[in-house]
Amino acid sequence: MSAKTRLPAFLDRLVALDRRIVFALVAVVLALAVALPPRMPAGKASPEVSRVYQAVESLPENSFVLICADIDPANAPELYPQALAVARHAFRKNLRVAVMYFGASAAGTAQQLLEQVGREYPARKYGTDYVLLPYMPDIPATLTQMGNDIYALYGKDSRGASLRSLPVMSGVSRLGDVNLAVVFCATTLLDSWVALASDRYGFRLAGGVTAVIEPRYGPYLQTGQLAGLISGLRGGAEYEGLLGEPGAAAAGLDALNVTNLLALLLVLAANAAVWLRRLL
Amino acid sequence: MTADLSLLSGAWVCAGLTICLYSFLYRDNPLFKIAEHLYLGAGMGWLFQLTLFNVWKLKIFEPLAGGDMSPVLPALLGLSLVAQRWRRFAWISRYGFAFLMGYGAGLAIPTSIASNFMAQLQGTVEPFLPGSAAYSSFTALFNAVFLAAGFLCVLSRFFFTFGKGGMGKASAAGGYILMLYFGASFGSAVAGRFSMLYGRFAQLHEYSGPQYLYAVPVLLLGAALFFLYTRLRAGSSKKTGRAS
Repeated sequence: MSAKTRLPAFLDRLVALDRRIVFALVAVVLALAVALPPRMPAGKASPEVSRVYQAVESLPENSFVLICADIDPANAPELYPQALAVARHAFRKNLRVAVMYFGASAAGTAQQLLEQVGREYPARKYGTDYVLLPYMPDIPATLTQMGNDIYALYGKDSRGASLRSLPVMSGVSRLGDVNLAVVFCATTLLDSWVALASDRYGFRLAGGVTAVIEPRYGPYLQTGQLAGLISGLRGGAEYEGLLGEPGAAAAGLDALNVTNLLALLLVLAANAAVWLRRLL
Repeated sequence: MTADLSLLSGAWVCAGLTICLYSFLYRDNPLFKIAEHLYLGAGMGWLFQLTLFNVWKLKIFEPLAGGDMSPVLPALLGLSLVAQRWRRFAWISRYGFAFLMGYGAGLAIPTSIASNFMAQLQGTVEPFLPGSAAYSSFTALFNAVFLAAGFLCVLSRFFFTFGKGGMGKASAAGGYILMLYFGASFGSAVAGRFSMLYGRFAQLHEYSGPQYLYAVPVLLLGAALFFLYTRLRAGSSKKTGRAS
């Protein structure tokens, strides 16, 4: 084969590359990034993440923070580090925390979140400083009811104790009594929280979302309907940076950076190959 | 030191199912099918028990047992949906659906207009009012102008009657702005998928250590041997077929 025919053949092969080779490349790069120690520090926190941090930081001691941790195992790599960082922040600030969820598959993660932070802050007691609310299936009905009377819907906590009798709920009977709500989700749940809850009952709302759905929440930030937004693994790492406690999100930044770079190189290579093939 | 038995078995099941599911990237195979069906079955079982004990027991059975009759009507409306299963009684389900639709629309329409329409319009115009924070810096002003211009251009993209002159140019600009949005969305989606993949890899890395009895290397080797065996078997059956 001459040099003249070799290049077009190579370009054709590159354009029609077996996708399994791409999968294998991503797997090798990611495995190396996971196995090697983290090297790249998180960049400066974005204004959106800083606003969530400030929203928690500005709360006086004993304020009530409601965390809606709708984190299922599939999106946990992105959302769990975010929720963990916010929960740690709230515990560190001696705020009262209630965790709730709507997705059936989020039950384990919500429980794990409180157990993990509870272990890290042993002085904080379940029932006095934090509580886990049980599964509730209907989002609009739950949010509407919580706006009027939380106890009409959540009579008991996840352990079967009367919610009203728990000291952590003191002075909180409806959503308007909540000082800050932070919703972690990979769906459009945050839209429901804005429309059905925070806009109607007037409490501060912030969000933590996956990178996939981040662009749709720009308008809510611009209007101030959202106090702030943490997005994806990068957002989680930025929040950890603000807290001064690098964790799972910061550890994943290397992997995210190199895989993004690989994707970029593959897209550029494929486009260059198509372009060159047309010229030849 | 080895992890305790529950952690150890959990790690092996978790790593095994992850490897089985990712084996689909190579090709469709029985390992993937097993994991897929297990996931569906376990998911449905989990949802069923959660609904039974957190909704039916707490919200219906316990109040009824205590003499509170208020859950009767909602429960009947909910049960009416099941009637759709039988053609003869399907009409009963209309009561449940009528309630769901009326309640859903009544709740969604006013809140959507208030939060997603009026508030957004207000947010687009507000930065240009006297004394607005948008005048405090060039970046804030640029953002406000870009947002308002982008809003008008994208809106003009969906006026199909006037396609020439200034409207046509605005419509074309709206198309580019939409493409920017889609590009940003797609880029975010790719980054998000990589984050998820990282999560699985990080967990597999954790389970590959001696405290989990090298779960991941052992399971990977098992999967590789399985694929090798099926490939050899397929090859030998092809040869037998040709010979006969």
